Amino acid sequence: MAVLVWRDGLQGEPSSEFSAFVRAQSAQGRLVVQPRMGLVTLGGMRAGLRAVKAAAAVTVGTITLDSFTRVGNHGAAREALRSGHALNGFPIVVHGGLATRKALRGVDGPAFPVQVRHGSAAPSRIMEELLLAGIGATEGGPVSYCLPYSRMPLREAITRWREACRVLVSAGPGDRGVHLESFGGCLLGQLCPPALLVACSVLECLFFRQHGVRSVSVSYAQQTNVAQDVEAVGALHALAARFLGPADWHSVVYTWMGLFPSTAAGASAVLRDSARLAVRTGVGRLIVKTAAEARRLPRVADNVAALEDAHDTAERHRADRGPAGAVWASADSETYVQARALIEAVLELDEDIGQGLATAFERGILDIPYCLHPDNANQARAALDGDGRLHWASIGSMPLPGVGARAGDLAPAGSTALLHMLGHMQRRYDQAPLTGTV
Amino acid sequence: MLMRSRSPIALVCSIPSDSHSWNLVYLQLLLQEKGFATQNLGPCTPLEELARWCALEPDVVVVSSVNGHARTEAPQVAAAVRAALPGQDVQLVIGGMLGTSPDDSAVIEAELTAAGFDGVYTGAEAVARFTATLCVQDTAAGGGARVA
Repeated sequence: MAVLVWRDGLQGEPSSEFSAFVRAQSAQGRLVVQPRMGLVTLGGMRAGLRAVKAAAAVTVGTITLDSFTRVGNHGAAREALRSGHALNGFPIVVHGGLATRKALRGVDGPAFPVQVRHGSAAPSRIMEELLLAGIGATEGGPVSYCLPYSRMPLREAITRWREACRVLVSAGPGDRGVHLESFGGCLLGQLCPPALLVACSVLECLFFRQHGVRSVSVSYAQQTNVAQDVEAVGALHALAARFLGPADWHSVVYTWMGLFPSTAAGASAVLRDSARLAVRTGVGRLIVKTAAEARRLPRVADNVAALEDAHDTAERHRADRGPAGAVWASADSETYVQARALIEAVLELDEDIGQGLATAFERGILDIPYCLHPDNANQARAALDGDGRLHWASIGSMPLPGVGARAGDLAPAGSTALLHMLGHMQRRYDQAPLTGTV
Repeated sequence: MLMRSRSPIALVCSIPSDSHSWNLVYLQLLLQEKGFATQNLGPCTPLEELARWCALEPDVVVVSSVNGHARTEAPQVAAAVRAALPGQDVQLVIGGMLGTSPDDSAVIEAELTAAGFDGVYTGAEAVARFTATLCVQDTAAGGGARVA
């Protein structure tokens, strides 16, 4: 068993407004909480952001874009807006950056920075509009917004993300600076062992840095076993410090992104466990899910309630807080060893991180379990054990030290077993909605 | 390119704007276990690509969507399949979270049925109700599965 000793995570000086806010809150022992929230109209979005700002929590704002804008189908977004059909987010390109800027007037600022969350594999146009809107923070990545969510060939997404980084860096919104968060800690949201999540997030941040973005965040989505999650965030921080340090970075945890508990008590318990995870591991920011998640798109009030619930939980457990970007002193956890092996294997392929990522997926050196994209080998498989810990059932061609012999012992899941694994968190938290011990 | 075999053929796909894929991974396994040769077209399925795969003459086309945009986009999916397979006996079904609120499900079911879907499945029992329509025959006798 590894012994935990905390030390500072080697984070450089903040170089964006977004990062400065999160890092300052971390320094005071406070967790920043953030929603996923996209309203359709300018007035609706403004009201939603004001509600998040007014919440009894330490918040940053989010503008989540709709699916049509994500795939570049602005005509369909315009048509939906015109005909009154519901959109599942804010169509920033249809509204335009300048109109968005007006809607944000008096709402965003150094004490309430706003981030655009979009999901696009080719986000240059979105970046142009958010910069026009005076927003300096966004997220995504050439792998994390291509392979799990898009039809675009990976090499093309890498080219588009290089362009997007250039757009961000060359036209940053004045002195606010730009901040880019990797979504690599999510991938398909569930059934991916933590090492691959950690490796993808660090590699995407290295890609952003290589293309001039100086302020980045690494991410990790809460998985199915608390002890494994604590170990994974420790590995994420250690590897971020090792490979990104001394750049300006912080970390963000996403509340469980898989099949969500359907009861209010179960949903709240998952959320609270993610807040405790973030506090315990010295994470800067938490992106919440709401109790409405399993049934419908959350409303503003659902988001505010979730933000306040997460904040209250973080404050209650403040005494447990690890230092910002805390790392494990011992670097021998399974997740650390595996994630480091994956990162180094990619870095050895090419000096250009984007090239390295493309080659790695081509050769199956990185392989996202169950991901259907043609550029993913889709040979790797994951499985849950009785404690909900994620294991590799098959590693495909990934160079993972020590798991080759064990992988393959587990039979590939049929539809019933897959559904059972996908429903693990929903069942566990709906049946016994007591928060686990972190 | 898959060759037509003795097994019945299923296409699994989504609507062009929907990036979710666990639903598609699950349905592929389910249909395979029911005896279908199954081609999974993946998330954000472009209409042209779906139309191209219709050349396999599928017995069933399963559209699954959970992003709330199917109400808007699914009619185009139905039109693409019907245009690619004019007058053919293909079972075209859709399921998932098809609108932005569950309150609209009856209206959406009527709209999508009118748009050309043979089955519209939402709510907790959606998969069970869909599976019940898959009538499995003795594959050894060469019948394979078919859609009831």
